[in-house]
Amino acid sequence: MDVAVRTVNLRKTYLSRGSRRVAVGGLTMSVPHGGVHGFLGPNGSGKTTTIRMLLGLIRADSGTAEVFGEEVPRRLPHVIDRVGAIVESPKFFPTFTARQNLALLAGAIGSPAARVDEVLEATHLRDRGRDRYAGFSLGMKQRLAIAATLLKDPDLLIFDEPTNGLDPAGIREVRDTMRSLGAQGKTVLVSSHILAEVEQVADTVSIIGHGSLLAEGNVRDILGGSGVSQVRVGVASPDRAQQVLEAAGFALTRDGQHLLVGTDDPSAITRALAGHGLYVAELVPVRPDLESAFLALTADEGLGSESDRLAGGHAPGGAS
Amino acid sequence: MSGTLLTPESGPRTRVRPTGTSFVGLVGVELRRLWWRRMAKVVLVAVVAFVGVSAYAAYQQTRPEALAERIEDYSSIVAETTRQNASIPADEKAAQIEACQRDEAATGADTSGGAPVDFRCEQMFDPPSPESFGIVAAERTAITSSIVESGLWIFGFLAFILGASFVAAEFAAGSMGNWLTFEPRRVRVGTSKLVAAGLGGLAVGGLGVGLATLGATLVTTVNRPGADLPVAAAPIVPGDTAAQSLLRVVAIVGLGGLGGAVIGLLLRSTAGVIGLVVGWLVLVEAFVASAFAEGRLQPWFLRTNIEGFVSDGTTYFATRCGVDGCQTVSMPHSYTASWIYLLVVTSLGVTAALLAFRARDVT
Ligand SMILES: Nc1ncnc2c1ncn2[C@@H]1O[C@H](COP(=O)(O)OP(=O)(O)O)[C@@H](O)[C@H]1O
Ligand SMILES: [Mg+2]
Repeated sequence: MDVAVRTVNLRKTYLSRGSRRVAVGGLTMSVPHGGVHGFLGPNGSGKTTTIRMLLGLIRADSGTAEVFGEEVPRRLPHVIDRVGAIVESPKFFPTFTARQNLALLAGAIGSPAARVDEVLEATHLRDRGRDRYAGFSLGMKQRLAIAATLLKDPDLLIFDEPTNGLDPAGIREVRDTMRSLGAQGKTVLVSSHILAEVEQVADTVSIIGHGSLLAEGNVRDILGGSGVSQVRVGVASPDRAQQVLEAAGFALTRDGQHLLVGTDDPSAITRALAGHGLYVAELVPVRPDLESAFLALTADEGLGSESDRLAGGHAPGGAS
Repeated sequence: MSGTLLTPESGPRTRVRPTGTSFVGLVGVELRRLWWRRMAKVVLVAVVAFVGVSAYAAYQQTRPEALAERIEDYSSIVAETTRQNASIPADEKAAQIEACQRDEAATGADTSGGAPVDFRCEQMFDPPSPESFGIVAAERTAITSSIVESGLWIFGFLAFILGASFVAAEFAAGSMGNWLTFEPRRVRVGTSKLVAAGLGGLAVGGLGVGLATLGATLVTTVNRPGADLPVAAAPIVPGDTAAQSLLRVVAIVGLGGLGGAVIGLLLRSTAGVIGLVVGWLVLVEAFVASAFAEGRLQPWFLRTNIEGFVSDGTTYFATRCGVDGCQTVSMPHSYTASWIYLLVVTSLGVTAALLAFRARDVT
């Protein structure tokens, strides 16, 4: 299989106040080659820890990981030039200018000096190149971090919660950047605790809770697999419509004057009701989203308390 | 601002993936970062200021007018001592000199290796020398080494702080993790930082010594005494000995930079490093070293070895107790012992720092 990233039984525990705390507990996941892959999980579920292990910043207790078929961290020097990453938040020297920060990184990988200008240009930071990093807005910091990853012209980009703290315009920018990188054939691994964000940009997704995998696959499959699609039906006489539809074998629930009917084919509802002289005034598919899928998954795992913290569709700029 | 940062068209123009850089290249990058740091400028200014002040003090000290004044004082003191000594009977003088020589012999027998300490017993009743009154012609080498002698600790400390903050700042800013996603080979990365800090320290030392030489030259040029002043020529320090000692100062200051980076890599925090160093200097080097085992532990501490290395062997004071009570004796510590000590301590420190950096998580 063509995978960009694979982990098998990856495990990391931290010693905190004398007791071992499992940050990542045997995570097995794979990220397909090309496109945007969401890495979704509530705060504290081990996303950042996993990313740090992939980058060789922290050592796994056990398990294996590979990037582009190379075992990491052992073979990391062989693939690092193909990987650009922003872990947690952009981190540069505050008193250095944007250009200085990039020049150092370019020097570390033997990138030509002209490349610094190119990536500043590409991230709309050319005019701010001589400004100190400390004076940058969060959005500019994020762009500079993206510029740094581009110094390498990477095939895999790892963004760890890239929209945290950004305003709606900044979120849109980052999202579009990820989409565009994915469209260029690069693999983008983006972690988030915000469902709406992943849902909007990702082609595929891995969902984790408490450091292990809950679900993985196409965003569409996972949404579909979470239960039957529902349609919200409005009719003049809901009681009668309920009888008719139940008789026709539909599963439904009553929601005030509306009916929530489970079906994959909304036209079947129209047909059934019309056959009894009932005409549909309103027919709205209720799209199951990643949030309900996530809630279903985490409920199974007894992770309800964690899922409470998920910022579902309430992310700033999340709806579109 | 319009959304997309990167459309496929605006993608990178330079298609060649970077090929990585050599170790020397990596050191070069680190040196560039060191030079860009604010701390480098602070250290630079501090070195210039220190040498400037010291040179000015030397200038004041060796001004012909100041010399003339001191010569006057000196003449009256000499007259006074001669008068006093004349009143002491000759046999009492002889007895005191003899007692002094016994002490000298006892110390000489006690110390192994090293030159026996000269107590200068014979000169006990001589009037003070003009040199001890600072009545010497301004001499370049002498002024240089007096500036550098006190500067050694200042330069070394500055280099240490420079090296320590150079590494610790990366952990503070979190950029160490970012750096490692560009060059993940930890030992290579760690070594390049240590080398850069060491070179930075050498530069600090070189600057300090260079400026001291320059300052001393200026002072001696300006303060060349007129022929009317009866000024003794300064004791001549052989040129190559002086140069060697200056080079060793530079080397120690370089070690200071390296040592700072080593501790920075181990502690990962500038505040922690400064706390450790101040604690170490105050508590250990100044107190523990001389307070325990009658001061005989001093050869195992940094200060003694640094002095021994720079001054081609040194002495330290220990308490020696015999039947006739305790007395302070001066003990030699050789150059060889000093450089071996420094080499071993440095190697251990560097190894520990690199191993720790390789093994520890970077978050
Ligand atoms: N350096 C650390 N020391 C101790 N515990 C940590 C450390 N880093 C993370 N953890 C713990 O590991 C768990 C996973 O954290 P993290 O990977 O940051 O989660 P996420 O990125 O998904 O929010 C959390 O419970 C967190 O408290
Ligand atoms: Mg995180």
